Amino acid sequence: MFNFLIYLLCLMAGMLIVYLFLNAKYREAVHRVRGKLSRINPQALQMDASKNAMQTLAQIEEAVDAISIPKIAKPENAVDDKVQIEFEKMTERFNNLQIVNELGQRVTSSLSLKETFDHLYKTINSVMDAAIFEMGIYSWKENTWKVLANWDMPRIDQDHPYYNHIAEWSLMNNREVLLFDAEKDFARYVDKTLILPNKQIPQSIISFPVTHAEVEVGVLSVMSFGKNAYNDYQLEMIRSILPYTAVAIGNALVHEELVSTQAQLIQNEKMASLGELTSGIAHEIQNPLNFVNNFAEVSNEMIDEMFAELENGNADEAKSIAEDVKQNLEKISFHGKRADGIVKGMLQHSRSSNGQKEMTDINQLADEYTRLSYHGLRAKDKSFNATIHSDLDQTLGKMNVVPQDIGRVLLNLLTNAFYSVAEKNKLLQGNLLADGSSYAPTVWVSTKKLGAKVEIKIRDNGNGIPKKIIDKIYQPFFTTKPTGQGTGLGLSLSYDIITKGHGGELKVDSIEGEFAEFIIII
Amino acid sequence: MKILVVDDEHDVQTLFEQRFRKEIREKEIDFAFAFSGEEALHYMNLHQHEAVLILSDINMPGMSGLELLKQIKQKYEAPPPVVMMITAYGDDENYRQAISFGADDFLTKPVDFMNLKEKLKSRTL
Repeated sequence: MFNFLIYLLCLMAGMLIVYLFLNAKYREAVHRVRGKLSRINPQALQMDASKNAMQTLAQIEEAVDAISIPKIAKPENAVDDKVQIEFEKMTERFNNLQIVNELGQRVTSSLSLKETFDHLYKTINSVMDAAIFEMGIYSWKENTWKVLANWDMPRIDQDHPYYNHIAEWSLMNNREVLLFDAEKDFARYVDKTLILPNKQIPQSIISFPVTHAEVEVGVLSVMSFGKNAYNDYQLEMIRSILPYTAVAIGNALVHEELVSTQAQLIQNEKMASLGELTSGIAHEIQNPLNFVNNFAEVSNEMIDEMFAELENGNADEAKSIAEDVKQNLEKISFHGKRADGIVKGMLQHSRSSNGQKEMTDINQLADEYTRLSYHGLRAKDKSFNATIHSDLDQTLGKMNVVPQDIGRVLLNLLTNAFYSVAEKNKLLQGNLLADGSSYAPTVWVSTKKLGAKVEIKIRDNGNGIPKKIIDKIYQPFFTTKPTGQGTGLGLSLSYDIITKGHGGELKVDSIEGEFAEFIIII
Repeated sequence: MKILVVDDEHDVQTLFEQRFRKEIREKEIDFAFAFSGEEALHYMNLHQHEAVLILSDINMPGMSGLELLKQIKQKYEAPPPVVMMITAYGDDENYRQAISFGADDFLTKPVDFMNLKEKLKSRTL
């Protein structure tokens, strides 16, 4: 009997040691995560997001890795219920810690607010009653709310501010709001409690400010229609999610800004290249219009002559004039369409591409853009001149491409080619080349059928591209032109259009001082 | 009178042949056409002193009309053919240069054919 008591005592002591050990391990793990998270410099998350946020992410991942959750073997022959209960609590906490870690990894690697919200809602709803869940993001600059919610929330605009004034209070004061009997406790924070449009009244309302780079950027709010819906442990869980949420919101906001800045830059590049073209376009439209007017006028005269011939009984002569008139009408139609095509091309160029591929005559596109870029440069610089050699493969047929985009690529490459020969011409100042010949600025445009693909080559005998920069030419914002003359986006956009947009290749070959050749294969 | 018309637009030939069909029929004017400055020089080498009047478009790829004008006035001395310049840009700079290179007249696009006919007739007289 005595032996048995000693045995029981030993067993209980053993269980206590296991409990204390696990408890200490948990605290240590939490401490380590907090330590790692506190090392994250909030400033680092601000503008230079892509780089710094990635570093931060790595730090968080490191922190997550640092927590190696010990495998817990269920104690056998558990005799003490208290130990058993503690054990289950511990297991639950470890599981939840794991949930938080997983959530952290998910949301911090997402660049979308919607995705972040979905992950948060799913996780929080799995551990507590989140009848209402809202993630509000506040812009201090514009003084506006953007709220994602798990219900069909009333819209927010100037006349309809965020209905959730408790969340607003939490953000403005950078303090948690914890209401467990909202109708009774609201007065501590705001002057009226929340009533949903369908007259429902949440009884438990908790709001947590989210701080990113030391600025309050948003609020997480969870509500239940039951009183006292949340315990300390659940609150602690939301608190541990907040730093991840902050990083995720920060990343998403910076990403949104980057996307819109990028779109703006692309639009600027389009408008800049359009500006270069306007004079060329005016010239290009003038010619076909002159033909339309002239052929219409002369046909009118010829019809009069035809009538005169008919009256004189010269049927053969009349017939011959009629044939000429018919030919003129074809020419009027041809030049009318030509002017039409130029105007359409110009409109398409300035419009954002709808990305629709259509059967396109590549030769026609090449011809059109060669003329436009040549005349565009000519109009700007009257002394400029270059010979254009075009060798277009008439067996090409039509290709399924996005015509505006391919047009943009051709325009970029051709404008560069003309620019390069003009620069070389200026540099020589009329002097002879090293081999004693005189310099003839020349641009070659050729197309060739390669099975189901097509090769477009644009070559110039201008200054060429130095070896040391040839790897950089497709980098965004890289330009050799003087400040203000090039956006540095032309080749970078061209490269994306050909490789990503059309699954093709854009290759370059050059010898400095002699030539540059760009080859498109699509 | 033999007239060489230089323009990079091929339909200029049809247009001139129709606009001047009466003059051509009555053999008052005989037209030749070249579609670049280089081609025009080549033609003039083969048919020396035949071309009396050259209507040239200044704005052409390759050899510009101004360059062609310069070469003609240098090469053909006694007497150099009459050269009339046509351009879409009726700007002072081109005008000044054309005159300094010895252009005999200056037309702007769109060409007024009535006016051109008048000018040609006054040259024939």
